[in-house]
Amino acid sequence: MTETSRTLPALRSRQRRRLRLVPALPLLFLGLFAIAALAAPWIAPHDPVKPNLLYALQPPVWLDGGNTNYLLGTDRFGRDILTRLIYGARVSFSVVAVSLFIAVFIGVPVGILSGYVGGWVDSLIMRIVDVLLSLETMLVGLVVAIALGPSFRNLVLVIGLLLWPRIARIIRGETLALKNQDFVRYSRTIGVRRWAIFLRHIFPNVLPALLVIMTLEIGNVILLEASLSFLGAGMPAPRASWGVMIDDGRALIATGWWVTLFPGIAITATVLSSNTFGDWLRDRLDPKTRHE
Amino acid sequence: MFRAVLIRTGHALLSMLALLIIVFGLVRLTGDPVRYLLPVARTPAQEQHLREYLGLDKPLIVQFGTYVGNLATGDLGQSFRMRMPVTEMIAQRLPATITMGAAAILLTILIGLPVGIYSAFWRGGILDRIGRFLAAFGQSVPNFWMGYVLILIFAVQLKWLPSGGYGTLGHLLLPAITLSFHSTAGLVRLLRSSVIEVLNSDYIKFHRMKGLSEHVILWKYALRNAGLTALSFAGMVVAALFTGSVLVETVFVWPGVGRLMIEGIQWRDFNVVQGVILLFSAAYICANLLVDLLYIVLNPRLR
Repeated sequence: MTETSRTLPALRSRQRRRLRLVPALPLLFLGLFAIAALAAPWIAPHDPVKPNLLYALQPPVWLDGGNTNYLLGTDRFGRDILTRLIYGARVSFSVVAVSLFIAVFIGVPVGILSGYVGGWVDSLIMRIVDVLLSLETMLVGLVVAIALGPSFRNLVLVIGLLLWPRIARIIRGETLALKNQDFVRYSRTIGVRRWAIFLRHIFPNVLPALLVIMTLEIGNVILLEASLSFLGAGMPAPRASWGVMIDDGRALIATGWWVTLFPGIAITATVLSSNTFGDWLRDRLDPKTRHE
Repeated sequence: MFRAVLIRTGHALLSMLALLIIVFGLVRLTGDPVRYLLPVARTPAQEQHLREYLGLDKPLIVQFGTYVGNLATGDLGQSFRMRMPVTEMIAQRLPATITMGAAAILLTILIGLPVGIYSAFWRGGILDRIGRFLAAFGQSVPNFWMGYVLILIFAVQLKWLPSGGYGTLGHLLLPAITLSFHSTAGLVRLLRSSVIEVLNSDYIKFHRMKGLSEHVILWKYALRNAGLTALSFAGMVVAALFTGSVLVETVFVWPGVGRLMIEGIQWRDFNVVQGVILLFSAAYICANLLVDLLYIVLNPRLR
């Protein structure tokens, strides 16, 4: 007892200081990412797909032979790396937005239904969720994407359909906890209709958990999109996706390392930011699972 | 306990069957293999003949029945392209994948275990912060890209190690490091939080009051408990390694099962793709089953 009371204030002040730094940096970066994604056509200095062979494989500006027109250099078709990075953010951003929307659109209603109704409905749904969760996301994504052909639509469909079981499972858990709370019981007793209870009482209360899992899945989706695109099963080739860019640079690793290096840094920074922000959000919204 | 074991095994078998159906259907959506196997100048009669030869003219349900029947005898079918049994092709490639996976698991344990425990024990310290940052970084970095960065540093710049290929220990080092990145980071994070949790628990406090040294508490009691948590991580590691191997084998031109699957998809070689996915998933499901069963055996509360 004495030990905890002695360490608690110290711990608290340290945490408070760290908490300020942690959401600030990731948020700043995620903000930049969103701006790049939304404003790409206006802020990108060049065209993302048009080749310009006269300026093929220009090194970044700070190296010998660097050109101030191409700050991060060009790839083997003379396309500006910085421009493609900015458009790549647009691709990642839209893949994340659409596939998460699909996953939430299916996962949330299914999760609430499963948790609230219970019984055989719950068992059946959870059995399906378990089976889907035991599928290897990458492998199935690869087969499906190649089966249907690489395109934006197929990519977000695959990712969305592979993601909803995770959301459904968490929402179900939250619903189970809410179901027996007094305010829900009371509504039930006075005869509020089931869908009204879902909409008015359950849904608003699962929102914090939903927000956390969505933030934590951003990184997963970005990595998945990049991996599939890298293997030629994601975004079709001339499009500026970060995974496609890494694939572009793979034969040039000895002569034009910047083609590969910068998109990887962009992926890592974005995923790291959203994961860190998600962890922080979870700690804020749910003190029970706080990681020290 | 026996009942729990039975239920877990039943679930695992159910997952396998569902997976088989899904993969069987998906693979057939990828396109007609006849287009890839015959030259452009072909007649419809030739196409029909090949389809009959491969058994693709029969209804899907019959094809599936035949496949499952053969599977029961350990036969994964023939490769359309290579005209040899899929089991044989997988057997040829499997040693390379297993070598890489085993090396990666070894690295994960050698690095992840001490770092995770150290971070928990000295939490808040400067090395804990570095360790945590590296773990967060390791989970965010795409492993195929990390492979190229390692090639750039150790093969292109320093010329210490080969950039790809298979055979010697030198060839193994970079792919294994690349593959172990995610799992090491995951293990560090998991171990750290579970060791912290155990160190804060009442019974460790009791041992501390008894006057046991921190050293004994950490290595004898805390670690034993945290080990259980780390065990539940093993299934995920196996999955991550197989998935990772598809990407890492591509980067390092490693002649493993992951490459075999990619080639299979490109050639619409249904039986090869099915065989590899089945193998990966069976390994994943078995690993999880094994972990669950070990958990039941090792955890006194569930006994």
